[in-house]
Amino acid sequence: MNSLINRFMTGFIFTLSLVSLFPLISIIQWVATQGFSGLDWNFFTSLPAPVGEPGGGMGHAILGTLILVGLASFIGIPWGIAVGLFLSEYSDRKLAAWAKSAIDILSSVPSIIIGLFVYSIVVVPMKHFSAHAGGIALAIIMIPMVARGTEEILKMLPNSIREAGLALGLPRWKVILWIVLKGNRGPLSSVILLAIARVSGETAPLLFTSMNSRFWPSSLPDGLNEPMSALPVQIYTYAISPFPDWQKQAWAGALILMVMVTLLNLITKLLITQREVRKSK
Amino acid sequence: MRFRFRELHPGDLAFGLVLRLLVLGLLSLIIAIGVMLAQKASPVFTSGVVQFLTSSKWNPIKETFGALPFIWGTLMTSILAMIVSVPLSLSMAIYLSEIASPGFRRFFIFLVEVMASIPSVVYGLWGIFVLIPWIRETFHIEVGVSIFSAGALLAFMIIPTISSLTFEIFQRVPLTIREAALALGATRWQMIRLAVIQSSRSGIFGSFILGFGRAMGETMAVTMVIGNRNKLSLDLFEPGSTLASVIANEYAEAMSSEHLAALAGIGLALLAVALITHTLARVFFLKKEIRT
Repeated sequence: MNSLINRFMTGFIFTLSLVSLFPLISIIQWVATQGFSGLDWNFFTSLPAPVGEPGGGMGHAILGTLILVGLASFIGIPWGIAVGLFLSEYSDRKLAAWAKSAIDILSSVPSIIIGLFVYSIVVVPMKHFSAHAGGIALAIIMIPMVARGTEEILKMLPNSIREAGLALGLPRWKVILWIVLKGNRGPLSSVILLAIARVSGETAPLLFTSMNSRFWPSSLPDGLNEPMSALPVQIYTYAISPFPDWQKQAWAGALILMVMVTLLNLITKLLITQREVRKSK
Repeated sequence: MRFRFRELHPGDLAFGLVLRLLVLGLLSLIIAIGVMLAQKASPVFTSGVVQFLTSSKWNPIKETFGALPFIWGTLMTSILAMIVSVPLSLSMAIYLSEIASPGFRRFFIFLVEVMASIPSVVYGLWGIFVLIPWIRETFHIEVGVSIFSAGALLAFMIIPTISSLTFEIFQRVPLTIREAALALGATRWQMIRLAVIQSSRSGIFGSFILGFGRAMGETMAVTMVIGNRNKLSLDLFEPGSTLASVIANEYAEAMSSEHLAALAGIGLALLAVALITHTLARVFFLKKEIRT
């Protein structure tokens, strides 16, 4: 009797697990088939056509995402690494406790609230939407991710390495920068790439910060002061539109976005396994 | 906190200072977010918080702002999501941790990670063109956008969250407990029930709470399938709105300062909900550590 229940439950659990993966399979299938048919050279290079007219593309959105994520990384990665460094290298108990709570809290704030915050702090004083604001919003989302990842990686480094550096006469900051950070470039890069992948898919924080645009960004640095399109925002706009042509482009955009994100994740995996292979040698 | 001036080297002093400043900056960032929201929402506080939270009329034109439809929408979509997601995620976690062979385990874990990395707009896109037509056909309803559709979509979105957390909790159960159960003659399912699940109950509950919190904060995918109607309705198959989706929809076009303040009030409510969920989950995770 028990073995019957056992076999039944094992099968039941396996079946439910397969069912859990069903949405993934369906999404991949739809994005691949629908998205592929909407891709052409035009898609990558042209701007949206006037409303209702067929044709046009999302070139500006792809470029916009690259610019926004670049801006966000410029602020978010150093800040995040700095906080992670502080947590792993320095021993101020109280500040470290506050910092850990801060990272936890910030990572659980819904991203649209962060968009609201940046709207009040950046968009309202500037009196217009801008890529700056979008980049800042994305950076705020990146900081806890990078900080947490950095701390976890550096915590695993044996102390003897730090002590060896100090014993050689290096000041602490050099030990941290040249030895601790430099020596963990692989895992740290994977943390950074994961944060970048996650942030490139964010839509909500961009809605009231960089908003959207139908044009190529103007030449920097003026272009950064204007609203800027981003791939997820463009996908959203097209997906809820009533035009089949735009809807098709939304699928194509989703394909590009997913390829980007998956590529970043795969590179991350490669970095980790490479490092492990090197270590075992 | 006191800076320990052990660092005699000027480079060290400067470096330590810079790091600490950045950390303090992070702390002030969080405080600033809370303060900013509270400030923007202050008109709501003066005209009555209780009324704001319990009134079900949201009419920006008439300037009446009651948040109940959105509280209801958020709760219902998330509860629906949990009802569907919990059995699926638990099964996935159990399968990965106890039943799968190493090859299958690696493959399935990879798939779960891919699922976790899908941006929420893509879920929303799929929701609009695949899930909703399916729901319309299966449940024979005219209008597909509804609280039910949003709940169903959310269920799939939080599967990776709950299953990966629960999987890690299962992995932490010591081998000896499993072996003890098996030594007493338990079948594998009995071992899973008694040794693995039973001993990690609070951790499992913590991951449920985190999944619930994630569902409540989700914005884009929900906005795309929920219909964005600001009227409270008890019929789950009717369009609705959540706290997050109404902000996404109305903030860019809100004109009057009362409207903006009301939306900021909703943001504050959302933030409070997210923080409470997060803290609650922490409590349950800590409980687990102490027990083992």
